[in-house]
Amino acid sequence: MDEDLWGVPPVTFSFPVEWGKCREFALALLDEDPARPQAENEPSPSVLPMPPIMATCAFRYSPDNMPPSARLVERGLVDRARMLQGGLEFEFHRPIRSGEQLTVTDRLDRVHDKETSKGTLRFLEFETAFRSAEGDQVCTIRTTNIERRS
Amino acid sequence: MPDRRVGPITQEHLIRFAGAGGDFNRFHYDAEFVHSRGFKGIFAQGLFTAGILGQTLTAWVGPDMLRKLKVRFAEPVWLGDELEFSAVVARAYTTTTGQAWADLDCAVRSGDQRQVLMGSATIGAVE
Repeated sequence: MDEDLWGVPPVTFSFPVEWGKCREFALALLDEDPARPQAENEPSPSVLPMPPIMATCAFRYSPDNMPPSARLVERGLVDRARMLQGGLEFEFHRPIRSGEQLTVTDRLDRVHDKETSKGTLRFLEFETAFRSAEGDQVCTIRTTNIERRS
Repeated sequence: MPDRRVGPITQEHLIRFAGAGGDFNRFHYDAEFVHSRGFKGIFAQGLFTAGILGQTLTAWVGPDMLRKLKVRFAEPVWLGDELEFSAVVARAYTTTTGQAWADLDCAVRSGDQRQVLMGSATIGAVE
């Protein structure tokens, strides 16, 4: 295991789930009317569900404006030119709504190498945990990046 | 889930999504840069495709019912591609607390039948 990789500490920051950002995301993702009134003459809902994929952009609210993989690149621990995005997994422990203020912690969770016919691949697995104001975990994202080592 | 067709994907789609998420990687809007890196053209953010899948699933089952979504990006989505989103029930079951959940196999295919994204989802009420 590469000790240097584990020397990069987890980063914790606040993530406000803004109504306008939920709507902007939903529209950009071709949701035809994310703030659709339910009946004629009814105002748009004052609370919107957070589009699932919006959680991946929470790092924009972190102090360094970086996803965890970029922190490793910046420290020279991972070569961006040799890195590909592998899988992405979301788990929602409960629905998330606009108006919530979540606490996010990004960290490197697991590193393992795999020998393939094309050389050594390093799998870097990151976990981003979202907690409510009450401290309950409401969402978890697991991201896998693959670095070609040889 | 009823199959959903989207597209053709335009530069405006990718710029709107870049603006929402803050990902201004030049692969998604700068043709000269993309060609200099050996790609045939501008391609979409992987999260754009995954995000449409997420919205399509939640529009179908309701925003409170998505428990898990797992995606793997298999091929680029190029400008001009038309996409077809599909999800079928692979397994339906009752959780230990009595909630009805289902695991879905999800796929996104381009008009020329390339599978650009594969994934899975779990839907059901919170336990």
